[in-house]
Amino acid sequence: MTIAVPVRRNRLSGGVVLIAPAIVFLAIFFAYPVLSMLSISIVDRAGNFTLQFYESVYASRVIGQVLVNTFQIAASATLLTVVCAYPVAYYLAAGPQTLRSLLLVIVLVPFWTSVLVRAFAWMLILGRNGVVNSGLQWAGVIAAPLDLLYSFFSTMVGMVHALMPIAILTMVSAMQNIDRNLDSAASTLGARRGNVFWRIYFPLSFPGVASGTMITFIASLGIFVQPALLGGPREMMVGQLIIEQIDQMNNWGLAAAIAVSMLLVSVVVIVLFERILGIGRFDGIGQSRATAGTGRRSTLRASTGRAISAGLGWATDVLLGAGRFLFRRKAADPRSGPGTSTKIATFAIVFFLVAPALFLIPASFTATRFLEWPPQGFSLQWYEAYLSSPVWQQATIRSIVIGFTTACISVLFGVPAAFALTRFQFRLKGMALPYIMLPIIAPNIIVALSMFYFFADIGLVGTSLGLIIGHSVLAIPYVVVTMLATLQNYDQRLDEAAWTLGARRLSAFRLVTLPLIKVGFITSFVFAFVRSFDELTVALFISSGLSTTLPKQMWSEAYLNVGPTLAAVSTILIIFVALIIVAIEAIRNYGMSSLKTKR
Amino acid sequence: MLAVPRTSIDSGPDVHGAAKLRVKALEKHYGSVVALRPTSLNVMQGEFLTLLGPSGSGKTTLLMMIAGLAIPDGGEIWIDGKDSTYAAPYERDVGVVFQNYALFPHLTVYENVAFPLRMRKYAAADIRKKVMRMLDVVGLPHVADRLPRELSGGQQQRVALARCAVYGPSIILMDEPLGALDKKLRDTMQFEIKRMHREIGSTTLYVTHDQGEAMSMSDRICLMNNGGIEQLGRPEDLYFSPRSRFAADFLGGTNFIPCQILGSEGDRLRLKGPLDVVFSARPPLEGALSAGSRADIVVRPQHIRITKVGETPTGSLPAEIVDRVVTGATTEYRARLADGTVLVVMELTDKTNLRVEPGQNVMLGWHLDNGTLLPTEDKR
Repeated sequence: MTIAVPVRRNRLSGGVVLIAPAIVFLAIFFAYPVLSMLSISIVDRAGNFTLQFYESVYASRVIGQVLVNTFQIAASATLLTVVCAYPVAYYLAAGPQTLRSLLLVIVLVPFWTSVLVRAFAWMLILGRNGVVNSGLQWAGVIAAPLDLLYSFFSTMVGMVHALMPIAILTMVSAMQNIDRNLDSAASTLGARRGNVFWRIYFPLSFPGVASGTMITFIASLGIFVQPALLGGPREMMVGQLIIEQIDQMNNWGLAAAIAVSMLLVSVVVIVLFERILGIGRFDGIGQSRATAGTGRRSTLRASTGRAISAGLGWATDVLLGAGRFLFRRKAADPRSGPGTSTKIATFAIVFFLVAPALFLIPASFTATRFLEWPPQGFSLQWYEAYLSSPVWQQATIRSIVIGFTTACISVLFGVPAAFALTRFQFRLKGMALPYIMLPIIAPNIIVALSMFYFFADIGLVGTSLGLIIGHSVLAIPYVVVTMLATLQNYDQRLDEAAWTLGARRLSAFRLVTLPLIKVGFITSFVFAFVRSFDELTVALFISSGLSTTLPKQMWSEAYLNVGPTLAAVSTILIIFVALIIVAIEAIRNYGMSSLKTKR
Repeated sequence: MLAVPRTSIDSGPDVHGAAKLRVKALEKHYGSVVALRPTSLNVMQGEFLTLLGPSGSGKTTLLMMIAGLAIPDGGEIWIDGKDSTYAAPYERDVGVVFQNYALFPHLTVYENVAFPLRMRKYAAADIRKKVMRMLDVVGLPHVADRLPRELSGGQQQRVALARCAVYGPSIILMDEPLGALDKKLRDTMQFEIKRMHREIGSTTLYVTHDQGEAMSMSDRICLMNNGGIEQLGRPEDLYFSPRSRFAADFLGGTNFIPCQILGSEGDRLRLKGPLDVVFSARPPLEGALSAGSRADIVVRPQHIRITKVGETPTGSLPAEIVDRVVTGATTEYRARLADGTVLVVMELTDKTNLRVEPGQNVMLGWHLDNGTLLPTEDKR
């Protein structure tokens, strides 16, 4: 809850002073590079204006095909992801308290685990000697292994798996604001489960679904790891194409033109999406008084939405009624939250999220030289191989150092910005947060590509500094969001009380503010670290061959051979991330309870 | 000899007549905590009954079980002659007004009020007619197309009332519906709710912790404490004939003057109060008090008169005024007896109040009809 505080003159300037470093940092290392990528796409080597790159984008059937592929794959993956994420998000927002924190950890671990690790897991599961094939062969269902890998199917599975956590988390944050009393109210007014859900809960959760869809779609456009490792040539996506143009063709102008085209098309898609569905307008949500009466379209949209939800409500009730009749069960208590079918769906999807990593762990102890299922024998040789290899060692150390430095820088820029956003008033404040969030909303590949152009100009490509700056751009938004959540729950009157009790600003901050926001501070530091530690896309463009990071080393290795060494490294990473998440949850709980006892 | 506080009270204007709601031995536990001891209660057709009590007294638990939003551990609920103990909320013939209204934020006022009718598959023309009539009753026909958040708190409250009354449920349940409003609006809404209650003749069960609200609105008050019914009756019964120390204190605040029974004297009891002053008082409603047992005389602050020393007849107590506070229309005194007992006295504020100064010695007396006897309770 934010508390209105009388605005004084010095507060105005105070807010600007606190937020300016983050704004300027992102302007130099994010906004300017993205904008200048535009110019690279329309300037030839001699420095003259040209449309040749765009002409070749539209002339090339290959590029056109890849663009079409990208949108098809991204749209299908998004649809599938959002549909599967909904029950889990619903459960997280409205389910029984006891299971929620466990479920949250289960969703968070894949969220913070490298996309590479997750792709490897699917290679193990879907490969010719993988979990599915050996399982089916063992059961006698099939005689010869199926070709599951390197197909549309495997790409889709990998992408849905990669995108699900972000979709779930986006939707949960919107669903948590839905008043649970409304369900009770609807049921006392005569609505059965189906009508309660479709007429009340679903329309209210729709803004969350819309923003989840949007974020998932944008993220899926820039994905290249899954289609590269799990897909075949027909599943090539724009990300791979851009990397190919830079790495192999050295055609910067064309890469920029492709990236800009993709950016434009996605903007068009988003605008269309907004026009048709009206994000946040389903059933009249978000209509301000001013617009409520103006657009006939909005009322039309609202009544269409209502008609759909009414139909779905009655249909569900008829189905549930028939089910009860068939299984002779009593009607469920509408207050008890998610029903049986939601529970089953949730646990199936959670299993889908967790299981891949579980297969990777035993596979890393195999005695053979191939990644296969079931693993043969037991050996620690692949862990030894990892620990004794200077290349892996250096990559790991570099990743840790870069991650730590990134976390320090992100906190330095992000925490003051979060303070400015919660405690101060200044001009254009409303635009500051969306601006800061842009680096994680924009497709990763575009951020990385534009940084690459800019850093090439100023000689930062291949340097650790360049990588740290690049990672900081991606980590600052996470720090700001985490700190915002903490500070919004912080009662600012405590500071004012400290001042009236005689504490000067600095000692009030040290003695009152800091102890209370400590947990949020540590959490955001760790998130920034993990964000950098796991990061592949920027590392791929910015770090040179010799000074590679851990994810980049894994990516290079994956191109040669996805073998047990990668499984061993992945296992270490999974355990590392899981420990961090559990530690953060523990710190958070401990922090809360210690605060309570102190009161 | 002491009156046993009963938790099961079946008295009402007509038990077997038109009881719209009958609750029999209903109980609820949360783990080892008893939320509601076995409780029975009848609400008559057209009656306005209030569940009054401090937080944790079990009033909301009882209401939630009647609404079907909490499952009882034992007992029965009959709504309009139908056993509804374990029926789902949507199968019961009840309307609920929630504390924070629970208006659907994505639906217009019209659609909110139409919701229960749609759930009951009324014809479109019927829905229109009923909704508009109901919006007329609550005086809000002009906001039908607005969203709830565009209304003031009082307007939202009225929409919530309209929504739960529009389909004519057997009983309307209200869970502290005025809790979120400011004082002035609360007073207006009390009248609004009463007016609506008369106009549509609904049977209403109303939960509040505000004794003033309960006194001014109810046909009967069900006073609850510690997960059970403390006393059930008309407001004036509870006020003038409290059955327990809790009832006497919760409704209006009062003085307890310890005394000892000497014997009976016609229809009254003779007793010895502080400083060995001898009084007589009406016997308690329940239970007998034998000579020698201890009791309290219950006297409301506004029933005590302050007189000059020597002016009053027997049965008055000498006291010293220790404090005087003008609260507005009334003036409150604290007076200390020689044995240390402090009594609160309330008078209408006028110029003569100013003559009674702290430190002054006075006599305190009251009309004997205004003193009620209560057996001394064991300290719980």
